[in-house]
Amino acid sequence: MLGVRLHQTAFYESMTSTLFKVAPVQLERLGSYQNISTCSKSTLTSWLLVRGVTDSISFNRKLKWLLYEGHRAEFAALAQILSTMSEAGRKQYINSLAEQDKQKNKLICVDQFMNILTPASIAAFDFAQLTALYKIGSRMRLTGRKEARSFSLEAAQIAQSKYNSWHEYYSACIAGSYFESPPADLSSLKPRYVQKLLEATRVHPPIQWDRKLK
Amino acid sequence: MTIWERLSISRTADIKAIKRAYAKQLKVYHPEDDPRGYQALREAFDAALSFAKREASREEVVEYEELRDDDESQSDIEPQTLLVPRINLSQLNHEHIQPEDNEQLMPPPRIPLHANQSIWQHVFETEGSSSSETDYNTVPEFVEAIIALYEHFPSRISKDKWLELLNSSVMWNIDFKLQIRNQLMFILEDRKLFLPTEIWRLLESSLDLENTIQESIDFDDDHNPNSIWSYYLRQLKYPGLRYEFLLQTDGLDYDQFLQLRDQGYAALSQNDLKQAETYLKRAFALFADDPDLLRLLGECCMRTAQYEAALAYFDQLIRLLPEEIDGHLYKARIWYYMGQTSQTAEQCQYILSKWPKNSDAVILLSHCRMSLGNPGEAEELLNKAVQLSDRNQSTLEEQPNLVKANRANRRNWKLLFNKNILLHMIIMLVTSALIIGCINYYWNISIQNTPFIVTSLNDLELINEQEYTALSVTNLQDININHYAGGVNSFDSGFYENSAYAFRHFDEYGNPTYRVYLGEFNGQHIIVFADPATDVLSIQSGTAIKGYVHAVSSRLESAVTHMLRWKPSNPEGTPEAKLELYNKSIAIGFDTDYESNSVPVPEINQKYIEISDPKTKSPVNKFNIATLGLIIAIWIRSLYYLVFEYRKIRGTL
Repeated sequence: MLGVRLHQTAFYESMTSTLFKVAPVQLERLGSYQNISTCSKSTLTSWLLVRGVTDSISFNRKLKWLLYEGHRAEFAALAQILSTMSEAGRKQYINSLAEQDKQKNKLICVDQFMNILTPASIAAFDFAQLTALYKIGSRMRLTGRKEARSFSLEAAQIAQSKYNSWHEYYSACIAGSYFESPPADLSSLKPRYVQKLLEATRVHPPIQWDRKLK
Repeated sequence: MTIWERLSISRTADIKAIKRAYAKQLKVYHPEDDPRGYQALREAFDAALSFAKREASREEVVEYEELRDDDESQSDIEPQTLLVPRINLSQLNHEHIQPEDNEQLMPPPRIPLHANQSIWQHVFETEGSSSSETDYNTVPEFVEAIIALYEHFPSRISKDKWLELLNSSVMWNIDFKLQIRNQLMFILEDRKLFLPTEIWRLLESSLDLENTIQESIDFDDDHNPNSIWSYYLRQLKYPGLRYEFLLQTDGLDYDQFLQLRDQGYAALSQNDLKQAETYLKRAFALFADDPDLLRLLGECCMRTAQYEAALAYFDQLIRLLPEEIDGHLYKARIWYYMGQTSQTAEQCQYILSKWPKNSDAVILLSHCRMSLGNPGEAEELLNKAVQLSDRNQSTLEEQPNLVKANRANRRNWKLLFNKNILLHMIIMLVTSALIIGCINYYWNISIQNTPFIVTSLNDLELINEQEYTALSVTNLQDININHYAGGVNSFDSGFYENSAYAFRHFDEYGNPTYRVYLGEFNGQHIIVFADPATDVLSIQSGTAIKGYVHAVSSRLESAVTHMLRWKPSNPEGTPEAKLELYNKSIAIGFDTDYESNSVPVPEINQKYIEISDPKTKSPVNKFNIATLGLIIAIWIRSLYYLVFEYRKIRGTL
């Protein structure tokens, strides 16, 4: 029993590691999955606030959204438009958009990432957020511990079914992080992404990707 | 309200007056403040302008006929044939416009798109007609030219031809331009046109249809997203598909093919895969060598995970356009999705041989290397990808800073600046100290509770009163002495009495605190105190008795000596002797009779032993065990987090 719990915790820690590494600076105080148990509640409150969670209702709404829709839905919708164009056409189309166009940054992100991700696209990012949210919710008493544990396990198992390795998972998670919060200078998007992927490649998760968690 | 009332002028054919009235009324019916009023005003203006133009044409015809009658030479082209009835757009909204003075505003005749080309053959005899022959001065001519240009497919997709046409004289007249725009809108309403994107943009830049269309969409609550206007706006917004490849084929129904291709494209954009597949396959059946169609079909198959079929389409695409990267990239992705890492790697390497700066291929190749268990090669490739994809020099310059930052992080870690490590380390130290303290305490107690075995009189002499002792006493005998707390005299702290006497006077004495025995230890007699409930005499001779050793007081010694010396006057064992014992008290004065007895009293050791359990309780109890367990659990937890944090930091560095 204890062994299974340890494995699960190690898996969640690895699942969410890139989430915290690529996060905007002010949220890096969260540091890691384990930190959620010991960091101050004000830090957690800020983290939740940025993600639009202020009470248990918005918390549950956010969880549901991440589980069934998430950022991957928007990514897929934009990818569906861009993938009907040739590479030259995509570049031309994106360049023709006005700088003030709200979709432009997102389209640039999709254009940069859609050819190097698996068919699951950035679902990894949604499930990483889901796992972190459950732990935070449990700490902040927005959800029960058993429920948090059960749904975290579910999220991890779904992630395992969609990706074949930690490398694939990290590729998608980092892409999702940048899709949610693209850098101000979009010309540096790809180099930053690859740099983060390189860092993630050097870390060897303590648990195998296809380990049974139950 | 009539059009003249809307414009606030009387009926006139003066174009300038109409324009002045329109400009004046624009201040009243501003598009943002009163959109409906503005629309009505605009329509009234168009109708009035059309009326004025028609009036002007009638006068021109009359003048022409007069001139022609004067001039005997006749032109080849009958002027009547050039006079195509103008399309009166005011008929589109009958509710706003009412004819006046029986004026019949006839519905404009539809301009057949499959116009009799023989009429215009003298205009477009060859593809390379010179511009001087294609200059149009009237709106009907121009519109017919557009239609003819469109009907001839090679000309339709020729930008030069369109530029030539749009450079006609008629386009330099603002009023004519307005009419041409309206008529083009009318044509578009009638059917969907298929033109390359650059032609659409050319038309838009010349005629500015977008704003007008956008206005009508904005004010139309029932706007259909699949309408012709949405289609037009899409042509401007998104990069279109190519047309030049259709020139390679003969006998193709171009419009049918383009219609199917466009519908497939639109369905695919909306992810309606079933529809998209249907339309695209039908288009494929008409013409199979269109690269854009092949790409769309391949994309459609990929979305439905029909990877083999997709590969076939992309192979064909590559055969048609080997120098375009799309087909190659798609193939690499398909192999990757199918888990064929070696083929993916091969394809990526081929792409890089032709397009060495393609970062997507490099990244896909690194994914393959990771899958094949070559993390070192994967890292190298990612490093390469960083350099390739970096367009901004400053990002490259940031890399040394990143390295410096990493070193700084290492130093910070070495300085134990990591809060988590500090916290867990402190917890571990504290719990370790507590564990050591507890163990030490429990050990001391257990030592204290272990009796010191006395084997000699010397040891007995030196033993501490606080030390738990054990010694082997033999020949234990009951000497009929009890110890009582308090006393007959309230000033006494404790006293000794003959147990038989005290038993007889129980009301006075109560329960004794101890019973006194006499035993032998190493040849000497030793007094033994025991709890009255303890059956001391059942203790086997030689068995160690445990307790605490105390010094014999004078009172105790006197009481013991007294009882040892006293003998009943009657023979022992007789009831009289027993009665004497019951009447014998040693607490209330001493009987002097015994002093005259010369009964020898054995030498008694100056120490006596009090039989008891250790004064300090055993440390093994529920509370102690629980406390120690809790501290150990906290210690283990802190150790676990410490190791975890250390490994994490080490991993990130």
